[in-house]
Amino acid sequence: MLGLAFLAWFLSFFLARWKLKLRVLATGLCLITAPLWLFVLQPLIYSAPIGDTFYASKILVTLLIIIVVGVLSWTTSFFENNQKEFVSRQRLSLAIALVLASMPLIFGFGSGSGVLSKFAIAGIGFTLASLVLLYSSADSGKWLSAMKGSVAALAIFVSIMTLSDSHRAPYRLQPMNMQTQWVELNDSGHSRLMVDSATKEKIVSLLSVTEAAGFTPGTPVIGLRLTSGWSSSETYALGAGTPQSLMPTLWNYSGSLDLAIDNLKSDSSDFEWNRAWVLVGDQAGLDESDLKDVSSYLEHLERRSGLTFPGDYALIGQSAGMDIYRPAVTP
Amino acid sequence: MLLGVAKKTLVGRLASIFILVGVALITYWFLVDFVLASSRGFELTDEGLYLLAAREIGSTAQWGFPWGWHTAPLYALVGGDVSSFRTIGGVILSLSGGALGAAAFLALNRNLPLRTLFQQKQWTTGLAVFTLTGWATSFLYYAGLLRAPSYNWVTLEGLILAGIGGLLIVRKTSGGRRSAPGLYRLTNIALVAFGLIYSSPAKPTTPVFFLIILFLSWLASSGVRTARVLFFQVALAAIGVMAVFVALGVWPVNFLQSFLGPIQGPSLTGAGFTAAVGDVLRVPRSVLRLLSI
Repeated sequence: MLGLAFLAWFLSFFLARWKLKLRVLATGLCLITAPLWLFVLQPLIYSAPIGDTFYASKILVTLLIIIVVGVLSWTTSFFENNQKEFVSRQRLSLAIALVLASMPLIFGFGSGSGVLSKFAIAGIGFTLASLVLLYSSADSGKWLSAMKGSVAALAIFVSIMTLSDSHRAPYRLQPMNMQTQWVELNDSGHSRLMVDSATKEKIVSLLSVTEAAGFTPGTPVIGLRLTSGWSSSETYALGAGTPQSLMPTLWNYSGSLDLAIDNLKSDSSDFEWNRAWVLVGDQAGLDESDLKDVSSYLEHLERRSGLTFPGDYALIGQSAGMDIYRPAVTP
Repeated sequence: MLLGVAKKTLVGRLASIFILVGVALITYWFLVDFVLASSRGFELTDEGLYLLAAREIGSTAQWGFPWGWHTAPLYALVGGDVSSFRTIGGVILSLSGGALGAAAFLALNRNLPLRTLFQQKQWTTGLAVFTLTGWATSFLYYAGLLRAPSYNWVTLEGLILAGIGGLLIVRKTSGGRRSAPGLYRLTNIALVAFGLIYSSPAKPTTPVFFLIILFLSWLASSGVRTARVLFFQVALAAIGVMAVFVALGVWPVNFLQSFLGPIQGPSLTGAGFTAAVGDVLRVPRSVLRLLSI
């Protein structure tokens, strides 16, 4: 439906090229109706409470509308003016817009989640490029000023919606208004953060279990989660030393094991593998292939540290869904 | 009386500017801290990795490419406090975003005659609209509220800084102008080079692609000769920036190995450069699919 609306807008724009007011009307309608449809009407029609869905794709569509408005306005120059100064100005605006519009594309290039998924967070490039192109439009007067103002206002509106949505549904976190309990980390800055009750319980338990077993900041730790999770935050919260690769690997990818072994072999830091504590979690969901990978990794780890896992380690407790081991005999 | 001294002497004027800027920055710091809710939440997966990467300046620690080289100085500056680390990222990114908007407007309006009050008003309004839009849309980065500066942050900040420099160069070299004033040109070339190198440990393809785009932009606005000269000047300056980073200990001496390691070593997903190009080529199709939401 939105695609059809886009097509109608395109046609009206070109068919009405000699009528500024009609063109502005078509663009203005698009600038108003598209966000209205995306952010208000669509959730109402499909019975989703307003503001209850994650906006990523809607924000992206709005940004695309913004950039298209700029591009279409810029093309008006071909209909209306051919003077030397004007052509030079068009080249200048194109040169500036090129720099700005390329930013999201270059930013997202090679992203694991796809280049399109990164367009929105680097949307600054699109919005500024659109404004630049609008400023070079052959049109003038209060209608064009209104269009520039509308694009800027829409861009600011999208930013506010993004932030508001992020507070409601932050990435892998409970909503921000549930982050109400203070906890102090064991990092170098002794950071104090407000977290939700489950996270506080995890962190407090992790710190107390390890401290009781003699853990001190700087003690080396290998965060060896065995399925999709990893232990970077636990390692950070403990103030632990890490190997050169920060974490051994991310499991469940086609190259997980190869990367883990490479990280182990190529480590040229002074990380003390034979003193390192090991955090192990998520073993329950392992299938046969995972188990093979894990045992293969443990063999390589054994060669590096000189310790057999778990034979040469003592289980000191469980916390945050992980088993915590330390070398049975500390060198 | 104090106000009188502040207005009359050069030192007094400088001191009052310094105090005003300081107060404005502190106020802005608290604003960003509030908007990003910097002291709230601790994301247990990705953010922990960003924090680990930022802990030690000049270390060889790296997950994939060594973006931590460029977040470590910020982390050290705020004394390793997670909440302040998040805020400083927001402050820098949003101020840079505003500056990018202003640079785009200035580049676009290089020759505007400001003879009448109306024209001056128009100019000021335009500058304000661009600056405000750049500033506001820089917060789009915080979709999901992953606030600790990460490889994405480093890439975007580098792109924005290089963009500011590149556009300010356009302002003074476009429309048949042979060259910009020496110091102005030098400063902006240095800014472009700094931005490009700043982004490199996060995503090494970024400086390469963006320098090509800047070259094309200079080509369109200023002609072949100027574009070629600027390209080589930026490339030279980039080598200088790398040397400064090594000298200051921000980059380790054997930095090349840190770049080559991830390229030559095994890939986690098995996807490489070809897959990334394919992904870009599929963008139009993905957009059409997206429009059916």
